[in-house]
Amino acid sequence: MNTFLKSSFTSAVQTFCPVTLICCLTAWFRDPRSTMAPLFFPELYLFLVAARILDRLLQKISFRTYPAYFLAELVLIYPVMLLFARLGGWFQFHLENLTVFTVLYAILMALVHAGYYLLSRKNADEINRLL
Amino acid sequence: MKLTVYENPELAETEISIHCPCLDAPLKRLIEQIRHYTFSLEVQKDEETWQMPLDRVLYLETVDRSTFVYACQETYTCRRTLSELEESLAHTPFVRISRSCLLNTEHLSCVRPYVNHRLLAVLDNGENLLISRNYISALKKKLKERSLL
Repeated sequence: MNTFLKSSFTSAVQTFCPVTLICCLTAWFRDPRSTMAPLFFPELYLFLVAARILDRLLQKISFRTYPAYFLAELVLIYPVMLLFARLGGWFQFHLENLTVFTVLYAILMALVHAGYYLLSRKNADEINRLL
Repeated sequence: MKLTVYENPELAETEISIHCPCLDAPLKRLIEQIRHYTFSLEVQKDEETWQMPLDRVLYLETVDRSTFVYACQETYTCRRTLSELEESLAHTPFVRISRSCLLNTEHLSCVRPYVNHRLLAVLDNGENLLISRNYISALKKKLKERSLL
């Protein structure tokens, strides 16, 4: 299972992203009105790039606790995501949709951070075993 | 392997002799380690130059283009760059843990998870250093090499 997650799954995801992006952009350049040319994927990709850049900027700050770092990233990326959603027309901006979006966003960020924390924990345990 | 140690205060210096039927890879690594512990690093403090034994160095750090050598209770400077030191100390317990720091893993007590996907290295003198995520695998590799000895 570990090998699957580390190599096969990772390489599948790494292949899926650029292939999806290329297909969407190619279809859009050929015929922007085509239903095969959803701009959502390129927009999502650009958002992910922006989120990564913001994450790198946050790394310049030394946070004392993990919750502080998590909250800072949550607050920093939230408006960026709203901006992309607004410009891309991902959903209609009314209270119900915004609430669902915000809750899902917070849950997803929490899961991502939990995943990274578990990875750090695993690395630390491995190194401590070697010491 | 049989290990015998003879302690004699009358000896002028330490001498290590190794008798073996075959000089294999683990033995070569052990010899390399012993050689590097007889090495010293040229450091400066208060306009004087010293020869610092490697096992006394906790870590090396670059700040504002100057290389600092941190021993247990004192700090020295070194004229060599961190990259040069990293290359010459490749076969020693020293490993790069960030863009500006080389750590002597012999003085590493434990590590803990830290924010921003980094690890916190706790040294045996209580000091803490940050291990960047890009250098975690290098640290693991160095510790695995040590454990094979």
